[in-house]
Amino acid sequence: MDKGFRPIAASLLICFLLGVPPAAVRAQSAPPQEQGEAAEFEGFEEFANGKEEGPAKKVFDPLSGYNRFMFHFNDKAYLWVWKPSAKVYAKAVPESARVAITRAFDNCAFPARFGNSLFQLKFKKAGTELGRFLVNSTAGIGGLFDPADKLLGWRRGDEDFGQTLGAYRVGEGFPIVLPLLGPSNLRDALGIIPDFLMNPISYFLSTETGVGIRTGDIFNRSSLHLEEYESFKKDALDPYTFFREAYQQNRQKRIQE
Amino acid sequence: MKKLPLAILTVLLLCGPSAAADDAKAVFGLVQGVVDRALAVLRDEKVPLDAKKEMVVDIINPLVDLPLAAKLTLGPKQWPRLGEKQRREFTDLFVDQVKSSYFEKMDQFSDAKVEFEAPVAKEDKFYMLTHVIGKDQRLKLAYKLYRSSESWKIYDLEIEGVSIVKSYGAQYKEFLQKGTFEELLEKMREKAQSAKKSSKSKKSPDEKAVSPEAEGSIPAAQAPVEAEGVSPEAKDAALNEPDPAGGDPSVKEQPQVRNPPPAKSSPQAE
Repeated sequence: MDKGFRPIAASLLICFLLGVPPAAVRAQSAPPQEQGEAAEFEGFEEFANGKEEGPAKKVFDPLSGYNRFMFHFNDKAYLWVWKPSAKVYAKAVPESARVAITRAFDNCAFPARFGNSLFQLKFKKAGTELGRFLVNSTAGIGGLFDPADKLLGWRRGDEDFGQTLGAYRVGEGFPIVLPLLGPSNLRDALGIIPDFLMNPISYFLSTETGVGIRTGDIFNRSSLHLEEYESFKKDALDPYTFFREAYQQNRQKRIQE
Repeated sequence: MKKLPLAILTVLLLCGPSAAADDAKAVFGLVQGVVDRALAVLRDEKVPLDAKKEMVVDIINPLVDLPLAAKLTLGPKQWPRLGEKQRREFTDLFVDQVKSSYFEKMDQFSDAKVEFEAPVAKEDKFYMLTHVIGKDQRLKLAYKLYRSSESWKIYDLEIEGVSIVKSYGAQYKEFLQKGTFEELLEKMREKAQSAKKSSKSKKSPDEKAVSPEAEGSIPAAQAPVEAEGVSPEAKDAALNEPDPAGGDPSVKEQPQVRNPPPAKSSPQAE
């Protein structure tokens, strides 16, 4: 077995090193008449998800009717209410202060990132989070500044419960557009609850106050990214599909990391 | 006999990595050079915005293969079904759209610092990650390159894991489930027209995030939403209605005549 296996392994390795597809792969790749057209796509299979399954594979989006409605609602709520208010706020409060506030909120939400790093057995990441929390809470004056990143190069992670579930192969379910919060999916939407519970704000204060503070956090953050939503929406042929797709790809990438 | 394959392997292993290292160096230099030059143009306050766009496009053009990206968005199922004329018009529309979109994003982040990571080889391609360091966050912007007949070329961009090819592809696919390819072209034409109008009507070229005249841009931004909010049925009906702007055959010809150059690079490789 050993003797027969070696030449095959060696030839595969050589093929790989030379970038030559082995004969077996070459033979089944395409019938001759379609080869001219299909050959242009060879090597770019990364984009061909489900190309064997007849005409264009459909995305599983059972709530698409509701989702489109909620996307439209959020769009208007953002453009008519949220953004104008954020603009007024942005004029009143200097940018450096707003950035400091986002840092403080991030610092406060440390337990969720720490916990989710641990749940995924990413001990180094968890250690970084803990170190960041200790340094920034003290030297960074309660997290208003980020010396852990600036001086020590300890970057903030972004682990959340949706990613933890994803890391354990829990599928995303299907896309859901959440009221005011925007694109999500079943898995990540459920993940909001444990993340909220891991945030100390929800312990020391009533739920209403906690939600209020979270809203303030998001409001403050969006004042730093005022024109970005429109900029992406403008490029989209169909904004709902674009943001659904972008959300899905972004989450997939983060789960992989 | 037994040692020969081993010797070949050793030689291959010794040459392999160093050739790959040279490639990686070349890719790194290309991407860094282009980004640095483009950012230098964007940060130059003496250059008017229109001229900036042209200059940036000239800088990135030799490094990107947008006709290939256009083809990849449609995929190996849809692309072979199209006629030469359809392909050309689609490619032109896609290329223009991506160029202005990339320029706009670059311009928004022109104050940001960019960090470059060493490119990672993935089979015969490279994946090069850059970090765009903004006010309150670090964005991951990845360039994907392949070896074309001339040089290394970018065929896709990933912003925080969101691939341009994939996200445009998804929208086209979804559209083509209900509409025809001609209708898709029509919609893309309309978009290109309205983008041109809104960019011309802007009073000040330098629209920064918190600038006061940004207020004036809200109604313009809402216009496309109105159409998006309509139910799919209504949208289809709207598409079938004779549209004075997009339905006119003389307008249809326009984009092709205007800029034929991308077409010459599309029959690349095989």
